[in-house]
Amino acid sequence: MSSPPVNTAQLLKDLGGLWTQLGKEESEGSDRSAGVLRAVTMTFILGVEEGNDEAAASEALALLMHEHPSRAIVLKLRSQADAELDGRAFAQCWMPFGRRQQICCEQIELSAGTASFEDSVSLLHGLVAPDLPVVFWCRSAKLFDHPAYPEIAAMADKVIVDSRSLSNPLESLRLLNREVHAGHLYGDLTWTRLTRWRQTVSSLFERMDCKSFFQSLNRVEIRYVHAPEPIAVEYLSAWLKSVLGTKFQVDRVHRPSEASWQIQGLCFVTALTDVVIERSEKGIVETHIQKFSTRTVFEELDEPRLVREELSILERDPILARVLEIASKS
Amino acid sequence: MSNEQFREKMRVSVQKFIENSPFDEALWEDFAKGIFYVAGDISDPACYAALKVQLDEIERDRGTGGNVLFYLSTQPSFYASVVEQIGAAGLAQHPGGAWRRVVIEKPFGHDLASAKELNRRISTVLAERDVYRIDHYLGKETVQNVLAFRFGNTIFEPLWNRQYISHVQVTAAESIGVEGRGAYYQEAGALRDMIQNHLLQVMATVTMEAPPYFDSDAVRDERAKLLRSIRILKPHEVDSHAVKGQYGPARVGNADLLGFRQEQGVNPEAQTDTYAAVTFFVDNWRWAGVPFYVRTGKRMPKRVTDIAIRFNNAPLSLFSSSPGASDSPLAAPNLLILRIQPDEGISLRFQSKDPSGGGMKLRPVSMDFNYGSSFGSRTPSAYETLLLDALAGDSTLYTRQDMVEASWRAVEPIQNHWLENKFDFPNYEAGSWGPKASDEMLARRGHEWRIP
Repeated sequence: MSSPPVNTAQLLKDLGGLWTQLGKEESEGSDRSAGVLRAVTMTFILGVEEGNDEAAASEALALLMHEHPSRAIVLKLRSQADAELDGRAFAQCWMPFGRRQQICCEQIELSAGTASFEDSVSLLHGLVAPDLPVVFWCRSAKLFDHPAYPEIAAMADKVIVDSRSLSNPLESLRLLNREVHAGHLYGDLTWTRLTRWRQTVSSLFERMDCKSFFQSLNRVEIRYVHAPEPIAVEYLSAWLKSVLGTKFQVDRVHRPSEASWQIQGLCFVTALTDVVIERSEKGIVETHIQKFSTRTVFEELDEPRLVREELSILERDPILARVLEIASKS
Repeated sequence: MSNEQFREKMRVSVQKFIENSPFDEALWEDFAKGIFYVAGDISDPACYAALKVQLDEIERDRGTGGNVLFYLSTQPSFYASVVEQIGAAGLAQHPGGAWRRVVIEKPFGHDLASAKELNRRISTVLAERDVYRIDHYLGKETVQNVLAFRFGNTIFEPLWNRQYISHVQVTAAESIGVEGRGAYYQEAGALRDMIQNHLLQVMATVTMEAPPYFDSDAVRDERAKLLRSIRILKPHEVDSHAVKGQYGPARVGNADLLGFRQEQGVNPEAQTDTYAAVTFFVDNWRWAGVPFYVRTGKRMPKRVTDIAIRFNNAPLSLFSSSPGASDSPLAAPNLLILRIQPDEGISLRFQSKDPSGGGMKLRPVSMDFNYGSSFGSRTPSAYETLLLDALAGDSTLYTRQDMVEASWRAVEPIQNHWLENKFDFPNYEAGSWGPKASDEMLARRGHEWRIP
């Protein structure tokens, strides 16, 4: 038996019907209601795979909608390889605290197995919201490796990936490097997670009392916890080289432990003393310079927060471009 | 078929297609009394004699005063002869001075010469004021609203010129193919079927000068003047200003779509344009140098018709590190979209400061007017509007002879060039936004098609 047709016209018609219905329900409902606000500032394509914590992905999408109301298109790669294309349209609504008006965002879900996945991609051209940016968050390693990936990525103004979860992280950095240098916008959540490390290092270099130490800097150690070496180390190493210059040696040191994080710390080895930044417990990072210690709190960064940070940078990131260039030469 | 059988057939259709209101049995019964059916061969004078008898009877029994509106739903090749037969049977004039009008569907000719000939033959029977050439795009509420938007407001018109507008894009995309009309369509093509009539009329509505007053002749004078100002392409300019396309097979969604040449009744070597894109220029003081990109196609990703007016970039990039700045990959200059169908309405895109994350970051946002939510009442269909206008003798939304001829003059060099050359088809996949050459046509001027 052949599956029912899934096409753009029907999905857009369903969306239109949905808004009519929502408006009707609101107007016939409570007289304290102030109606429904249809909000869309971008098309947000979310690529997921079945069985890979879909609930977390949906939750992330719902949270992101509040600050970035969008037409969300969820592309789901089904675990059953021969699963045929299926599609549906629905709305996600919420009532902001203290307000009488519901805000609703539209969502389209297209799902298919590997064999038919291109069927869903062929519909995207007609489903993106006109004249607004298109952002593609590829949250699935399988989708990143799928032949349909380049076509989806080409449709987006910005692509967000998380290189540490991809099947070949280093190779993915090389691909990102090629894409970024071809003028495409990319964000990598693995790089976004390093923002706090970069901020901590930068603040050290701005301290007057550290200047004398850094003038005699010999090398830098990046200490990581789990083998194999995480891709975040590659990023951090490339970033240090980009800011300190390639004459400085950056060593990667494996310090096995039971800790849940990936990077244990950084050690700046100078002629006078070692300057150490080290994670002491979850969320706390200590900086040791001779007898002085300072503590910094690293907030827990969940996926929605990381993606939110990426969504606020819809422009070229020259630092990331330089870092990718260095990292991809590894 | 008897009158009763015909009335029953009509009732079934009305019940099937009625929108937004219940079928009113009593109203229908009353209305149906005025429906009569006269069958005959339209090339046989006896047919018109029978029609005359029926019309005289209707005039006598139903008090029409002798007013008659003839609506020609025949093949275009019969228009002239039917009008001549109407004239010969004495149906074009009424002894008591009642009006006699004829509504003609497009295409009005298949080129400039045939359009002139059609007009000449019709004019031997009817005065121009009694000929209603229907272009249903002009009857669409949203197209009529363009005039209200432009000339009922003061804030847009000062910007409506070459100083502020970079270019204009007119898109009429259909997601369907030829749907069994392959044999007809392969003779017509997108340029003739859409651009020569509908889209040039829409373009004229967007670009015409304000008429001195809102009446049929004044509005049509301005439209005609604009159509006459469209630069006529020279044969050697056609390749750089126009793109001809034909869709090939593709899989879209979970359906395998046929290519045009595989459609039933279509010649497998057909050179028909199922896609056409043209860069027009309007040679007048207001629009000199502004490109008007007009495109239409079948088997596009979605059904949409809209007009996008793209304004110039800000003269100075104050927020150069912002995504909204002109040097950013997400540069978003002001864009005014007049949505003809679906989601009829108007939206204006402009830059706004993004409140998240601090700093002066700009993001495009849009201000929307939507017919559906702003007006509770049902929007009449284009044909309802136009036929009612014809009955009332208002030809403002109908095309005039000089307008038809001016539009043919604008597209004829393209049509001739396309007829003289063979194209390597198909050149775009069903479900895509058209041939690559179309993107290249805009890229040569530093522009790109928006995704509507």
